[in-house]
This record gives sequence, structure tokens and C-alpha cells, in this order.
Amino acid sequence: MSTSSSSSKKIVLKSADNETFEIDEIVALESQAIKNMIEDECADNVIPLGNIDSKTLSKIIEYCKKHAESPKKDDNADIDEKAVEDLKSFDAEFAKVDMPLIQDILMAANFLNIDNLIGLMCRTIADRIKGKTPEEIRKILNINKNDLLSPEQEAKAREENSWAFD
Amino acid sequence: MMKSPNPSIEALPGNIMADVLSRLPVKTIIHCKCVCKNWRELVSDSYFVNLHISRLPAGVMIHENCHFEVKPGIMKWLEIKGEVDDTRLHHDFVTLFDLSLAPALQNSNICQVGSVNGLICLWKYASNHDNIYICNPITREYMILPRQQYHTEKSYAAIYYSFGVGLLTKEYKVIRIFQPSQAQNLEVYTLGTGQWRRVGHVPYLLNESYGPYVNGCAHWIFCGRDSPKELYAFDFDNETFSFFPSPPSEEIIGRQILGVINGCLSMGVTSDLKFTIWVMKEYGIRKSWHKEAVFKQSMDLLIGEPVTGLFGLEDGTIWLFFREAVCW
Repeated sequence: MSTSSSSSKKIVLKSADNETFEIDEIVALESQAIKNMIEDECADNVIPLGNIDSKTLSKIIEYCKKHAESPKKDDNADIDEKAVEDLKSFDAEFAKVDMPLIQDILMAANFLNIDNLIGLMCRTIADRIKGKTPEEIRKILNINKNDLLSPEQEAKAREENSWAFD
Repeated sequence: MMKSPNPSIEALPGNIMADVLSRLPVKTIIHCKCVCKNWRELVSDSYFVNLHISRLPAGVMIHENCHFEVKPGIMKWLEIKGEVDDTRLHHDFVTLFDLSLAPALQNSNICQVGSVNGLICLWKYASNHDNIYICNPITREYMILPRQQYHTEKSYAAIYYSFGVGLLTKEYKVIRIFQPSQAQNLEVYTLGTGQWRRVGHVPYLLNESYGPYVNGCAHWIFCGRDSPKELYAFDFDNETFSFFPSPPSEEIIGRQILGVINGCLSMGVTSDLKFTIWVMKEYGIRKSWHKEAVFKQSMDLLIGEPVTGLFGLEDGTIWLFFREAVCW
């Protein structure tokens, strides 16, 4: 890889399904985990991400690109209002994906330690279950049937919960 | 990586799941308790509780009761939501807690002693028995503190409670001061220890019963036999009272009550002519006491009963509480 033609250093990420993504280092630095690897000089030319598939990884790169390009809040006290709005609407659009992908992105963001993205995904899940009944929540999140409360436990929990009403 | 087409939410680490749930309103969290076993444990965990508290913009638990009836009343949990792009704050009652549905509290009079980090300390009082409850309205758990002994000593006792947490020890404590004789006995109950400890005497006479908790301390106004009223702070870590700076003494003539406004210790001073609210902007700094508001009327006369509580929010709203004299 030639660096002379490129204005910035490149990093290559490799997904679980062996797809490679070449990105600017500045984009990769959005991930605290990759940042630590680079700083500790233990990142090879290609960083393998064996637990993230290409679909999820491309979404994450899309997010990191946008956030790396946007002015950081702490850089400047009076940052462009428009840039903030722009990033907000990007985040809102970004989160409009199905629940399985949200969970995959969240898992990956947690692994890569991308704080803003973790927050965005947690907020998205919370928004989707807000005000829902236990049954609806189980359906939305595909809760494992093996982890349900026994009928007695559930009856007891509901009785306790009847303490709160509208 | 081979992954199932429908990933289950349980695959997420506990701290991430706690992050998700901590963003929910109290009412949905209550529902989450019966979604699955995993979550039931999660919301009862102190990690979750602390995270949830750190996210709550502000909340107020209001206890509504009618003092003519022997009923525990209803607590209303009010979440105050601040919209980012909106300077207005919305005051919505999110959840109501009917205390009479809790078996232990039925047919009794209940007072709120105070609340810290989402735990509420309730005082159930009656002529022949008296109990303190600590409850977590979110998880619906409550504990009863051991019965007080003073009723066996005297038929009447003036008793004052406060509830707080030590900033260093992180121990939750209920303190009670009671006056079976001239001396004010001070007792402390540390949550988890199972017993009241007698810590000593308070060599002052209390002026006001409510001891608001701010910054690791409960605050009371005391007045000695011959000395003027003074403000004292009880430190929940080292369990001692120490002198605490008051607003300028020439300015605080009249009946005084303490309260909390926007997280700061505050004092309401009521005289025949006006009602003044003082706020201590920087905790413990005498010079930071300043007049937040002055009303050119005596609140007591206006409403017909004394102001007993003072509470203020970020948006500048200040609430005044009035209670029947029988309460505290």
C-alpha cells in the first residue's frame, strides 16, 4: 500500500466472513479498542474481527466515518449548530434497522468500544420497548423462552406490580 | 462467525443490558421485572440501580394523604423531563404507588422521612406502634426496621427522623432523635446491621423536625436554652453533629424551615410581613447563601397553615408544602 498518494494512513479491517474494509485511520480511531491497539503498536496491517460479520461491520464503518468527519463537541465551544443537527438526523436514520441488526451492531460496538454508538443502540432499543407490556417486550426482543419466569413467579411479580397503576 | 438468524437479547453483556433498561421510564422498568428471570435479577442489582439513578433527570416523590383518615395514602412519582431543545420542563406524573396495596402499610398513617438514591424512608406512626420502612418503589421491595423501644419508656415522645447515605462509607442510615426526657437521645440505624445504636445525646433543642439530606449530611435547626437558633449538620459518615453556616442572622428573623432547592440546601424564613427563601449555592460556604425569592406576604397567613417543606427544581419552580400540624 502506497502512502504517498494518500493523505492519511489506512487501516484494513477484516470481518468474520473474510471481507476486508480499507478505511482511514482517523475513522478507525472512533473505536477505542482499535485506538489502543494502534497506540500499543500491536495492530498489524490487517485487523481481523472474527466476531463481526461484514453486514454489521459495514454499518459500523458508515457510523464511524460520519462521526469522524463531524466536528467534535469538545474541540470548539461554539460548534456549528447545523453540524450537530446533521449528526443527529444521521443517527436517527442510522438506527432505523431491524432489531437483530441493532443487537449485532450493539455487540460489535461493545467489542470495539465505540461509546457513542453503544449509547445510540441502547437508546434505540429502549425507545422500542418503552411503555410496552412484558409480552410485547418479549416479542420485540425475541427473549429466550428458557429464561421466562415460572407461572407462579410471574403471577407473584404481577401482583407486586399491581402496586403501580395509571 | 456463525450466528443464529434471530439473535437473542440475552447474548448482550449484563452491563449493556443494564444500560438499555436504565434508559426506560420507571413504569416500563416495573414491567421489565416480569419479562424474564435475567432482567428480574438485573433491575434489582445495585449496578443497575445506580445507573438508573444517574440517568434520571430529576424526580420527585409526592406523598398524598388525607390526615383525617387512617390510610397510608398514595405516592406519586413525578419525573421531570428536560427536553434538549426546549427550555420548558415537563412535569408528568409517571407512576402512582398506592401504599394501601402493600400489606404491611394498610390501615396506617404514613409519613415520608426522606429519600436518597431512589430509596424512600417511610414512617408509619400510630399511638401504640411506630415503624420505619425503607422501600424501593421500583423493585417493590421494602424492609422494616426493628421496632423502637421508646414507647415502653414513656407514653409520649417527640421524635425526629432523617435518612441519608455516607459519602465515604456509602452506608445508608436512618437517624432518630427522641426526647423522652430533657436530653435528646440520638440513635443510628445502619442498613444491614439489624439494630439501632445509641450514639449519644444531642445537647440542643430542636426547632424544626424536618432534617433535609444534602451532600452526605442531614440538616437541622437547633436552638439552645439561651442561645439563638443555629444550623447544624449531621454527617452520616462520622455520625457527629457540627455547626453549619446560616444566612446572616439579622436577616433570618421569623420561623425557619429547611428544604432543598435544585440540590442546594435552602431555608424559608416566614414572618408576619414576608416570606423569604434563601439558597446556599455552594455547599458549606457561608457567603454563598443568597436570597432566592422574597414574597411580600406571610405564607402562613395566606394559606392558613404553616409552610413545612420547601423543594425546588432546576427550572426555577419552587414548591411549598403544607401539612396538618399533626404530621410533623
